[in-house]
Amino acid sequence: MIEILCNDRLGKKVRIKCDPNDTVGDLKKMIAAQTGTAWQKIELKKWYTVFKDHITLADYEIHDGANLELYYK
Amino acid sequence: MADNSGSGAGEISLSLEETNKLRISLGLKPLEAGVPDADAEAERNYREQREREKKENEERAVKERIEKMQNRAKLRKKLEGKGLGEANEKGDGSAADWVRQNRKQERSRARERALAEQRAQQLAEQDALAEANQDSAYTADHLKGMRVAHDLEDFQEGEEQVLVLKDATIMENEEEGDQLESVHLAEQSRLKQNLENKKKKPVYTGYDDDEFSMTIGNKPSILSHYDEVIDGVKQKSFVLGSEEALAQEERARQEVSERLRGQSQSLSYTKTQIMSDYYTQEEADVKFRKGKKGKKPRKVRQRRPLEDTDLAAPAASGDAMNVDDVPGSSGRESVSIATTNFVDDDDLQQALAVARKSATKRRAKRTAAEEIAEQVKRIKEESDDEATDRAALDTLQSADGIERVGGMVFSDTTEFVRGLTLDALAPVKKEDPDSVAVKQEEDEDGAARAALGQTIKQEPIDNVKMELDTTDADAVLKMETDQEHLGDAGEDEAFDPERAANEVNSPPMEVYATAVTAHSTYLQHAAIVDEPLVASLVDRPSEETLRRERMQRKQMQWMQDQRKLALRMERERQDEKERRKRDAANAGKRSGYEQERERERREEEMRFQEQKRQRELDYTMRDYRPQVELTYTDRHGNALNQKEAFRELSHRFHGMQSGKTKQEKRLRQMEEQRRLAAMPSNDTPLGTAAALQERQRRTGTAHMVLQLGDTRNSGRVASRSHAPDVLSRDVLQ
Repeated sequence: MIEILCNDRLGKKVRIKCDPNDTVGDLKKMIAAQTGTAWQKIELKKWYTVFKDHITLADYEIHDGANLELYYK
Repeated sequence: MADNSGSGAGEISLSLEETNKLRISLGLKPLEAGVPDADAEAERNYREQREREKKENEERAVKERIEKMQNRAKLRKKLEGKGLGEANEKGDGSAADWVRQNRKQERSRARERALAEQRAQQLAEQDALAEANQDSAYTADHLKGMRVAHDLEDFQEGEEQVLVLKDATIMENEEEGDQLESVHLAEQSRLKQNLENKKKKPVYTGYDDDEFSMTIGNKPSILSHYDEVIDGVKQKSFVLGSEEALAQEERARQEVSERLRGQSQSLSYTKTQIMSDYYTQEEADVKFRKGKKGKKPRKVRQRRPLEDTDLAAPAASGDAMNVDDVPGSSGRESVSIATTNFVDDDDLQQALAVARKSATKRRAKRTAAEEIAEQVKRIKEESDDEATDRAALDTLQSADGIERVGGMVFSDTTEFVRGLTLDALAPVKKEDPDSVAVKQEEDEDGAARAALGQTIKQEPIDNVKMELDTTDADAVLKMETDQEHLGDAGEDEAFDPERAANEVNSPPMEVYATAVTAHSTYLQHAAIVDEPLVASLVDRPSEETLRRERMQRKQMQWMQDQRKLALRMERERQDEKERRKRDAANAGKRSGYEQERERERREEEMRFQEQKRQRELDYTMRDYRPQVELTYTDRHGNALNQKEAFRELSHRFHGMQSGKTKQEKRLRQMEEQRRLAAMPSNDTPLGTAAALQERQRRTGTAHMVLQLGDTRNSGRVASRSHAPDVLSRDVLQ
């Protein structure tokens, strides 16, 4: 289990417990469950890299304690 | 969502249980609790590794064991069967048994041998049969009609070639049928073709090698190198057993030999043949080819029948004074000369020879007396014609007191003569008789030649070249010719010396006098002579002329002075030199002090001399007034005014020229000016004024009626003058 921190820098900061084998889409769904936004509207970024839904966190090399940028489409 | 507010400030987080619940609802596997223990994992990993290794070892051991077993089984298999000892186990190992077995083997062997023999015999029989068949059926005749895809020449004598059926496609086979081919020859020809292609021979080399390399019988068609392109590659082939190929070859060979035989030359010749001076028939028959040439029409000089106009020709070509003369019998030759068209030199030479001969003949015939008589006669006729001439002559004679004889020809001055009037003559007569003095010399024997030796002395204008000067060579020549004419005319007349003496006094003096004045006016007009010269004749020295004369005189004076001065100075210089030499000779004797003084004195003297020379120069140069006249001329020699000169210089400096049209225009203007200058000053170019004056003189009236239109009632005058042009023609006749 890893913990990831997602910050939209507009006042929302979400700490999520997840598995490295989860896809980015799963992560988005969990964020949506915690923040109340529709998961389709969420965009996760690290600098200019926009994470795609069908790729796992392990493949993106997102480890425990990673900080992701949270944007809304 | 119980503890929504997580650990951090404003962080949203869920607990593990809640997350797991959510994950389950989302269809994900729940998360394991807690952080994984690294030691436990390492231990587990170690264990797993050990287990794996153990398993592997076991498997390898089993495999080895199995392999060992298999090897052993294989070895055992080799050792199967009976050993040496166990071999005769079956036949109980007795000798009888061994013999029995041996015989048995022998029998089987014999049987096999018999079988083989039988088979060999069978094969031999078959072979024999086949051989027999071959001998009887397969001969050269069988191959008759087969086509061989090679040229006959490719097969050499005594060479063996194996021919096989040609490898061809179905289409080719359809087209050509079965063909035999030698693989070796085909390959050779292909190789040759490739080599040819590689050479890339040019079509035309410029050498005539082909002509010589060509075999005698084969002349190539025109542009033969394109034959393959047009007709395709020509395959040479022949049919086995047919006579065609052989015959063709034989025919070609025969043709060549025949041709060579045709060219052969016989070495036997007729040794006893006698060389003849004349052509034999064969030699005569030999002809050279002549180029086709149109025959040129030969030029033949044709004699033109004599006509009346021809007879009149010499009279017309003679001087104006002889117009009335009738040419005598000797005029015939001169007629032919005058009318002959001199085409080439031979004709010219011939004609000249004839003319010369006739002239000498005539001259020899004529006597001096006759000549005089003729001349007199002619002069008389002329003077009869013109009464006014006589009057003018009389006045002149009274002034001169000299009588004169002789005809004068003014070929170039006829124009002026025509334009002269009596009033132009008057001042000349008045002026002074010496200025135009005519002297006549007469020989003791009274030869007519003396009459020609007329000279005119003109002191004031002796530097002007006048055509009036009858001492001029061609003038004399002209007179001679005149006399010849006269001689011809007066041959039949009786010689009358008395009459001749009378008539001698009447030369066309009027013509002479008027000519002088005319000349002066002409020269004045054309600005050929300096004005003072003309003025001295006409008695009218202008201011300008006087001034120029003065200047000239001064100049002359100055130059003379200069010369004198130069002479004097030269003499002085000589003296000085002498003196110096003397002083130098003396100087050796003097002391140093005296020498010093001497030198000072000399220097002083030199300075003085210098000053003196300077003064003299100043003095002489005081009167130096050189006449400088700066004139510019173009390349045609025309004088240029300032503007034109500037243009000329400018053009030369800048290396340019006016345009073509401008240059042409200038040339045109120049031409016009030239013509204007050449025109007589007191007349129109057509000589109308002269004509008018002539007419006035003839009719004796000052006026002239010009009338156009109906002239029936207007009398003689009107009938003679229809229009101005008619008038002028009429008068001039």
